[in-house]
Amino acid sequence: MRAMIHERMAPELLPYKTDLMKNILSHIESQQQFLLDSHEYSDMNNKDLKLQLMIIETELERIQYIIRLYLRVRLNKLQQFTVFYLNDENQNGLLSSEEREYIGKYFQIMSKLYNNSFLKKVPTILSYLDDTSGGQSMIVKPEMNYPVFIKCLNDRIIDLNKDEQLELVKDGVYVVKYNIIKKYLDSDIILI
Amino acid sequence: MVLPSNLIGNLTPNELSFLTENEMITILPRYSMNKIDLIGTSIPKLRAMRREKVPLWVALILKSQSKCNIVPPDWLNHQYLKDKYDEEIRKANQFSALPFNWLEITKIFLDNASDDLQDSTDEIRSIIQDLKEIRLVKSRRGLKELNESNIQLNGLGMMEINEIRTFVIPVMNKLRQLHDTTVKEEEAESDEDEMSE
Repeated sequence: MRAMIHERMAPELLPYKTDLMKNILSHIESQQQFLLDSHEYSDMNNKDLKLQLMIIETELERIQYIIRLYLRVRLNKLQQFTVFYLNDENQNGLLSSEEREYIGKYFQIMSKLYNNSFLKKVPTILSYLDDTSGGQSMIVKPEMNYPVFIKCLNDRIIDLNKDEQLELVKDGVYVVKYNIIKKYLDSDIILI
Repeated sequence: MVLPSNLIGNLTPNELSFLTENEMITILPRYSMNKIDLIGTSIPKLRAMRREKVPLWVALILKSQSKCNIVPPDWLNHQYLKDKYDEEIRKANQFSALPFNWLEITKIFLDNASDDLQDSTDEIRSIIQDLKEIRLVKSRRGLKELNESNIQLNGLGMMEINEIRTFVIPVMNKLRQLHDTTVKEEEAESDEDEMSE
């Protein structure tokens, strides 16, 4: 759940939580199997059991909702920064294999659409989607200095820049630039 | 496209209360139930009239079938909230300490388990409204002090943060961009000075 909120609030794409997702998905599968079995074999007049199954089902729904949200937020970022993440070579574990496939196809479709609708009419030199010459980069990058809300789990002193420091107290709520606290994520600081 | 634009970078109040339902809460079961293993947690074996801690959403299911009473957290009563309200008035520049998601929990209680509260719902509602308003005034006043690098907002609840987030984040981002350009210009100027010397 925390992974979902982080993904939602951070401006850049965070590494894909492979182990976590694998774990949860397998849990979901076994719970679904259990539900099916119980529906088939047990006596449905038992009120106690019915309630228990209902609770299990509700939890499944809740978790599935969070997972869907997590994936949707990631896809949204991929669409926004397609070329940036496509060019980014050292993406060890940043994208899942499905996401990599998605981003490739998405880029194909996009460039085809752009080409057919207007790019073939402009001079070739201006028609590159990943043009970085001329002072203005055509690649949309995530803004790393974007301010974010954070909450501290422990007392902590972080470096703002070379000679400034910021003292964070436990349970404090702050707004700071994403770049500064990026390396502390998942340890003492959480995004909210 | 994948995600409607109003969901990007912010949470809706509904989502917040959804997330709050994962908090643990004490219940007083009225009947017994065996232990259930769930994916996230497990529900302990419930026995009638023995206090147990369960996730709030489980408590709500049991409550809706009138199989348990929910014990309200110790801050959710009129006297405590009244004290907090007086504290808010006394300390004009500070937020008093309330649980991180006090607004959401109160809302859930008022909607679903109002008969478990000690005081009448009207009293709670009015004191909550007063608290919310005085805190909102304070946080609005605090917005004047926005700057480009960082800001401290201790004591604000999740819902309150969410309310001001749509304003605070873009403003700080713009201030930062303005700040960055002035810094760059200063550097450029000092470079030019060196060159001319």
